[in-house]
Amino acid sequence: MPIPYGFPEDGVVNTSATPATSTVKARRVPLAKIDVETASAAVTLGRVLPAESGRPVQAPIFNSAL
Amino acid sequence: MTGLIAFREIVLKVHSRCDLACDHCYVYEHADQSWRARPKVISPEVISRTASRLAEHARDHALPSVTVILHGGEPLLAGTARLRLVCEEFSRALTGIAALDLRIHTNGLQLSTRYLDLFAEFGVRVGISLDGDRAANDRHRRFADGRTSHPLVLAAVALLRSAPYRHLYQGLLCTVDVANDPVAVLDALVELEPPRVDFLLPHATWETPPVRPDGAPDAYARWLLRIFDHWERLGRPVPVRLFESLLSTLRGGPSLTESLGLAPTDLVVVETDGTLEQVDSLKSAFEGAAATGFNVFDHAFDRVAAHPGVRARQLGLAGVSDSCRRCPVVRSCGGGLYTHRYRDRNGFDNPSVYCTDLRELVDGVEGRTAPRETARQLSDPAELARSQEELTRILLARLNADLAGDPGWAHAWELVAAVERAGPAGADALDAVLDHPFTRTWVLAALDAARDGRPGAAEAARRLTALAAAAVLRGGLDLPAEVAYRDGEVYLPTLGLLRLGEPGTQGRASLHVTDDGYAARDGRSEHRFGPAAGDARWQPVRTWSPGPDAAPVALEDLDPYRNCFPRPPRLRLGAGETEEWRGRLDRAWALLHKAVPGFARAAAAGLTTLTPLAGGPRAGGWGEAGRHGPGALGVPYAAGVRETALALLTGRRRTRLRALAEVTDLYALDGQWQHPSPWRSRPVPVSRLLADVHERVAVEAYRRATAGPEPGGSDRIHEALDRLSTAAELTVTGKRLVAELRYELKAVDA
Ligand code: SF4
Repeated sequence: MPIPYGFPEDGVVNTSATPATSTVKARRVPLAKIDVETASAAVTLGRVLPAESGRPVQAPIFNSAL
Repeated sequence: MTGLIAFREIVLKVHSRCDLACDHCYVYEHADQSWRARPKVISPEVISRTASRLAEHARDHALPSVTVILHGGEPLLAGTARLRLVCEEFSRALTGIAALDLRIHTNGLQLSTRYLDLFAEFGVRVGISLDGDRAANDRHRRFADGRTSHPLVLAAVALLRSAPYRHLYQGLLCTVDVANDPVAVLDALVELEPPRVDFLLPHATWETPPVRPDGAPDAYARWLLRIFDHWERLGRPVPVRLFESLLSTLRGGPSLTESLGLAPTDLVVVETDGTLEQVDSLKSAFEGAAATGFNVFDHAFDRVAAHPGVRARQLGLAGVSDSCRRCPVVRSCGGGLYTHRYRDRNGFDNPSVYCTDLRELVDGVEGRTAPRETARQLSDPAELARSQEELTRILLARLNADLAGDPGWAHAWELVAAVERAGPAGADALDAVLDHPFTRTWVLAALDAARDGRPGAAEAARRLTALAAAAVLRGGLDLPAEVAYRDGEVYLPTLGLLRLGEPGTQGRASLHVTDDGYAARDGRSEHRFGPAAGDARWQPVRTWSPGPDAAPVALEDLDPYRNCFPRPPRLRLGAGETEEWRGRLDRAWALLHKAVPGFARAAAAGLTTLTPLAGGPRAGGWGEAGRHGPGALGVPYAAGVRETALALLTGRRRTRLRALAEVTDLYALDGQWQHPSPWRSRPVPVSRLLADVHERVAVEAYRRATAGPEPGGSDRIHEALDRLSTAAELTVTGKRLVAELRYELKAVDA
């Protein structure tokens, strides 16, 4: 008995903000495969977990060399 | 020695002379002439001593990697044997301690296969100086007798780009001369397919200002912006460090070069005789400017790190001049390269001698790119919702990384993974429970507990199991749905509270979907329940419908994690109370839509969950947002219709700003400046000022439509908006938001 989107009855409100079965879902990384060590994950986490935002390892900054 | 920033970058002077006589070189042509007294070639003792000092430093500071840049003079003049010794000594010393990133920066004249084979053996990446096309390069980069170096440099680049060595090609470094044709310069560089390029402003100080052929104070900005425009026309064919740094800081990220921004300098220079110096461009300033008085034989790197001159360049905002601190572009500019700030009278406490250029350059790049660089989440609510959904997923994955060793958690995680694998119905059902706003509250609390070393794995596993079970029920999935209850009950996220035993008892039960609802099996007995109808053992989450076309909103008074607002939640409402509340919400919603239809529609978008809070309305009747996902809002149950309307409006405004700040960068370095606020007695950080304005624009609109405006209300908002417009913290996205607030206020004023 799948519950349709927006079924107006107590107990089954749809709290999901993205449309059901959208193509976005098909393309995204499954939960179990999310790598939380990537630079982009670090940026995402750093915004909400201040303790995570240690100084990132970044490229050398010396002006007179590359 | 706490608070010291470790050096991650060592510039190793392996040879102190050069085979070119470029007239713009800071080493030989500028104030400091200390090179004359230095040994030409670095000695084996200095090499091995520096390597072991660096290893000790990397170990003490647990550095994952260090960069060693071989520099000069012209480093290739050291010869292959000495360079091999450098590579061997550093590789050996750092093995097992830190990754070693070896680089060399050369004029290329001597570059041959003998050198490149050595560099290939040790993975040394090669950067080459080239000022552009032949005309540009010949302007400065000549031999002492005036001969051109251009063909030799091109030959070196060609060799470096050939098959066996191409992976060592680090890029091209170009010193700016505004007499050159910028388009020809960039074309000449791009043609050589460098992996990256950077442009250097010629070294100058307030004592020896840069050459300005037409007298214009912004010649360098205009020249670089012509490069920028050409770079864009070509489709950004190569990363340009200077531009990438500006684009990064404008977005709220770090600067990528010591010549721009406020990133602390983490490099130290080792001279051929083992003396330790600050960055050597300081030599342009005055004789001995770079000296620290330390050397690798007698002193650890930490001694240099504590040197006042080094520390001054690690202080970020506190390390720049007063006028830079008040400058709107200081996060991107940072007062320019330290050297360029020098004046005999007061040292480095000045803006850059390139100040006008830098300001125009930052503004120019921002003006050209702002629309493209603005985060899409600001204008696209669907994109914001998607990013918020992704944030919860990443936080949950992060929690899994912390708790994966706990068997109870690992089992629950597997249940969730099975739901996600169960086709589109599974994915949708999982989203519904993950997007439940208090799922975010729970994950954040569990991450806090894990970080603080508090025991929390059992509680987290219980919640995750309930989450998986709720998804199985919602999706009607043919999967096991097992829950663990405590104190006789379990909350099934988004569905309701299920009583499975006497108060004080705990145990497990398995749930499944039936024709008209759900059932729980506990041993041999089966209890059928829900979804909508409550009974003695099942309390469903109730809903409220904001209108015929609107999705229903959960009236969430069951989830234990709803206790995340600045004030406590109400306990479960009685049936009569719920009816009354629905009536008040209906009337408040109607009032809001009549008074401020645009704001009301925005408030409705994405609202999924209302939680009744204890106590009467706050002063002003403003709503509450807490540490939860973006769909939730807390409203004082006891608030009247008008107060409820205002609570809905302001609470949703707060939630929206919070949701934006969680997935985009609206500002950086929040708290580094304090701003006067028209509404508060003390100065506030930019985040506070922005939040106040964001909320008050909507309140002002509401007041005008209902009770009449607050005297001077609009002026105060304008005043705050003016202040925000010049705040250095704001990113391109933050500035766009401020511009939108201005439009909103204009519409209200009209
Ligand atoms: S533009 Fe001028 S005042 Fe502003 S930070 Fe740069 S050097 Fe300082």
